[in-house]
Amino acid sequence: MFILNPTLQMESNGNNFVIEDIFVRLTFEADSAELCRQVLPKIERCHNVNELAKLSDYSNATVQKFISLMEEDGLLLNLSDLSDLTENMLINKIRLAALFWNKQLMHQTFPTRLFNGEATREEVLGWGIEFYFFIRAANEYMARGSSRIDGPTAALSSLWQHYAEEALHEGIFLEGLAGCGIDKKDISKRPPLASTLALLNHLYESSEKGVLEYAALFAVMQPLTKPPTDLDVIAHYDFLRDSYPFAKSLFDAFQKHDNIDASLGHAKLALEPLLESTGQLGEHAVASIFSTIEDTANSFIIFFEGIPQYYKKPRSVSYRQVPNASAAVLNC
Amino acid sequence: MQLDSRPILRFPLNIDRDKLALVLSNDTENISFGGIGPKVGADVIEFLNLRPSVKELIASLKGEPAEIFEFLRILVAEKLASESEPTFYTGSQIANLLQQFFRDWNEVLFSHLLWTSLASGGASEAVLDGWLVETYHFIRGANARLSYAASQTVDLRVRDIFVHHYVEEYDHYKFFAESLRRHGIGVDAVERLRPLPSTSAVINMMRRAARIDYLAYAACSGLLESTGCDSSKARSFYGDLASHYDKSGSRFVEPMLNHVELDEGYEHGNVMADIFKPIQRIEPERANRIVECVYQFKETLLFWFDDIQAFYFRNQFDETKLHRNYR
Repeated sequence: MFILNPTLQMESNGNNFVIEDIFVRLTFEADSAELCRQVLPKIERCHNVNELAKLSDYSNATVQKFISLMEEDGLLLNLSDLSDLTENMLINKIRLAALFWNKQLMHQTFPTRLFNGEATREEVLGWGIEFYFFIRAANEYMARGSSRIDGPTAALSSLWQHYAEEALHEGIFLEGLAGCGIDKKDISKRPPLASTLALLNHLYESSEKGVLEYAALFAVMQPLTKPPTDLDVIAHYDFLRDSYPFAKSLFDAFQKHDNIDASLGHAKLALEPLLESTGQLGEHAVASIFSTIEDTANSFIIFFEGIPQYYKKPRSVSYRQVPNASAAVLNC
Repeated sequence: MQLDSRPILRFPLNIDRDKLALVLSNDTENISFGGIGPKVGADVIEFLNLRPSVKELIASLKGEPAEIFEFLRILVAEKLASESEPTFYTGSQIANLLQQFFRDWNEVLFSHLLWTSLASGGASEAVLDGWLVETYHFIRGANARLSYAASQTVDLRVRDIFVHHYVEEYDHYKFFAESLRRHGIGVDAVERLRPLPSTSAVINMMRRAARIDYLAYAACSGLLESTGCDSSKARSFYGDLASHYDKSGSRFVEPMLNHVELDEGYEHGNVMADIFKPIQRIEPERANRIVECVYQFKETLLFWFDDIQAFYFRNQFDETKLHRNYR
């Protein structure tokens, strides 16, 4: 199966064929352009390169080269013949998938506006509130995911340690929100948005499915091979503090949390020790890892989309009623 | 009202406007207030959400204590707040409350564009196909939620009700599979392309309810069943679907009508009340959690309707593809 980058634009222009997304523009000429014309319309209906090559006038090797080029530039994800991959190839493919889906996520409208300094006060603080619920949910999904002892300690211990390191972090964000003038007691009692719950429930359900699915959740959250440098982190949050001075303490909290994560090496792929211990995985297990990565990105998209829809007015930040049953007696 | 009492706001109570006038709202009406500054009034509502004592409330807010006190008195007199939380609720009280919520929320849920446009024939064929596809996944999802709820229930009386409900519901996906088949959509493709994330979110929210408290699950299930217990409305909706979308005479609506007929015999609309009414005592903390859960479930259903409408407006269900992108 091949997954085309959803933001991909294609245009056949005389002798040329142009493929682009927001980062890359590839212009194919002459015979290469013809290859694009033959292959791309069929790509989403073919299981692998062999099938694709049979439907075109080109050899397996030529189609494979084209697919690899597209994949290197993040324009597609080649998820065919996954069970044939060696352990190292599988880890590389998981990293490619994590980067591919993380890119789709971060270029949705709201994250783009937010990290470009263009969000409203309500959106920024609303994002802080909903993000707090996400951090707090570590004590649901990470607790569930790490509650396993069936397997070698060498494979599982990093998952246990990861949870132990994250378990007490919600206070950092609560302090950050309190610094923006939001009552801590109010935040911790209010109901998360339905879109936030969709994310939290996805994280829990994936954690319950199996240890591989649990570990796969972190691929999208931490897709980089190396943690960002201290200077990168400082520059990122300095920009956000300058853009949103009313949320300074919130970004201080984010920075503090990122620094802790970086020092603990949380950019390392959580799946690696598990894959090293399990040996060759079956087709279903591998497919489940990739669908978990995709579903996690989609759940974060839902999470982000919910924020500008709800946090529009100042009162939406300061008031979200804690549901109660009092009307049961008020009606009497 | 005593200074040490802790008033509790009626739920739901939203602050709609606080500039020129104070306007609050619940599920069915807008409520305007005079006699108090709009900002002070809104601040009182906001602060009451933290459940302070009257003394703490007056001490913490800028405003004339007499004015705040009078506003509190009016909120209580108008039944928009209670002077204090009861020490416990009965199961009957909670069942009646939930039935009131369901009446109000069904109005909101089924006046959603997805449903009105399907009933009027204004929805595109793509939206109809998408609604059929996602409904199939949702109905099949009874196996992910009802049996799970039974597994999480320690009260044997309630578990027995869930088990019977499951046995009566587990294979109803077959009706929708047949509708899909008649409509020319292959079930294999539907399953290969998997549900929208929002359809999974609805099923997952029900499972969350079951983990939180089996009574919370019973409340969410009650909301679902309340939508289907008016058979005449359901038949009318399906009749509209057939007249607008079955020009070829495939009779794809028939299996869904058969499903309505079967459900009618089971009387699942009574399950929630059967579970709650015999319970003598529900602590406020538990009752509040049940209300929070069913409210979040209602919000999740609205989000699901939005998502089906928006996604299939832009994307035709294409069973020749091996994968579909969500965004």
